[in-house]
Amino acid sequence: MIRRLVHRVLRLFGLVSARRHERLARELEAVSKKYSQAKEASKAWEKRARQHSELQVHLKSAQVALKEANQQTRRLERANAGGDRKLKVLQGRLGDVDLLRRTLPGTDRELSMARDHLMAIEAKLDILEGAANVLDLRTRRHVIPTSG
Amino acid sequence: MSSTFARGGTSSQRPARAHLPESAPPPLVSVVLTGRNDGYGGDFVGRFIRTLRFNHQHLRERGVPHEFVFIEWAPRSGVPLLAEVVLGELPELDPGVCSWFVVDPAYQSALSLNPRLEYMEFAAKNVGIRRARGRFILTSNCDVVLGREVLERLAKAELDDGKIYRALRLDLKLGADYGALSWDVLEDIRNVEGRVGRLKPPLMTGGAGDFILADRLTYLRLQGFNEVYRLTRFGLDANFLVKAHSAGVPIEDIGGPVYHINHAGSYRLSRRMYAGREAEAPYGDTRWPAFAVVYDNPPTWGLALAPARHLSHRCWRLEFSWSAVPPMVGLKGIATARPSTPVATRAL
Repeated sequence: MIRRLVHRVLRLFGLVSARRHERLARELEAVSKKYSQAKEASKAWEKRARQHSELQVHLKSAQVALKEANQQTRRLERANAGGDRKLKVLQGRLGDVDLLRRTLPGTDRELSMARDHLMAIEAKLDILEGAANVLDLRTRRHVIPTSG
Repeated sequence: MSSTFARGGTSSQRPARAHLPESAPPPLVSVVLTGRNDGYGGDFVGRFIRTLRFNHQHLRERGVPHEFVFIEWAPRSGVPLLAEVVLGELPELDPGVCSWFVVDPAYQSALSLNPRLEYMEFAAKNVGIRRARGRFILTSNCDVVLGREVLERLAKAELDDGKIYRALRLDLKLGADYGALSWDVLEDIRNVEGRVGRLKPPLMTGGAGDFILADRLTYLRLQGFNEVYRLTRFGLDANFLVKAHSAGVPIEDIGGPVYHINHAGSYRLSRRMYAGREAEAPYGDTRWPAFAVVYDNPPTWGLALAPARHLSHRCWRLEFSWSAVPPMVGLKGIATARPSTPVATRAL
């Protein structure tokens, strides 16, 4: 009883027995240890949470990229289909070009002939114009001016 | 139609041989020249006499049988005939080597389709071609001096029938006093105006009016120079070569130059004066398709039917007659030039 009383008085002055002190120190150490562990665990969870957030961001970007890729794929498919159509058209035109190339020398000859004929016509027109001018001059010389 | 190289011509008529002076045996070459006493280009008579004297002397020295066929086209009134002046100055031009034809001025007005055209040089040359007697005919000009190589070819008579020979023209500088012409003067490159060019095949045009040499039959087959397009004298020489080429007649460089004594009023010097008003030029408009068309002259080309009056020994005057004048318009006589067609395939 006295012993308990002494302990209480000592406790009032902040003193404990060595045995108790030792026990309390052990408990404190254990608690400290648990606290440290809890803190580390908390940090790990924080890290995981961050990683999770980052992963979510990446996931969203990946989803966007995937969406764009899908759109591009569709565009490419459409372009491919258009290219095929154009290729067919071009192949058709290539045939036209071949045909034109085959007919070109003949057309060139015809053009040259037409040009030559045009020049011959030009020369003939010169002759007609010259003759008309000469006849005009001769007529004027023979016309007697009449006064009104 | 007596066309020989005429396109589509079917007639086999030969052109009438018009008033050929018949006496001495035909020479190897007839040199056809034209001019009149009008002071063309300054001292025309002086240039002509010096040139004629030089050419005659060198042809004679080399023993080339030759004659000069001179066409005095539409002489001016009030001045002596060129024939009187020249034959007086050159007594060595005996009647055996010279035929002179004075053409009534009425032919110039009757033939011309261009009132500004002062001188129908090639119609005049046609008169000479039809009356030349030589085996070969050289159409040239009064101020063109024959070069050494040309004289040598004539001397050796190394000329083929059925071929046209051309010579490069070198212009002697204007204003220089050449005195009596000599080889030293002619062959001194310092006296040559501009750069020395070359004749370009196949046509070899460029100053062709100064030298076209061919056998007489070829000239007759080709019907001389164009008498259908009578609006210009520019390009009619080239047009003759186009017709020859189109008819398959080969055109060849004779191998040496001729020399032209430059003068005021020459086309070379006066063309700039008429830039932009080509139609007003006294030599006719230069802008006609001389390289694209050929012609089929009327059968009377070269004033074949012109009545000739004897003036003196070997000198005739061609009096005016409408029967000698071709139709004013002969549109069928103009056709497009075609690439070489062998002469043999053409109706002669």
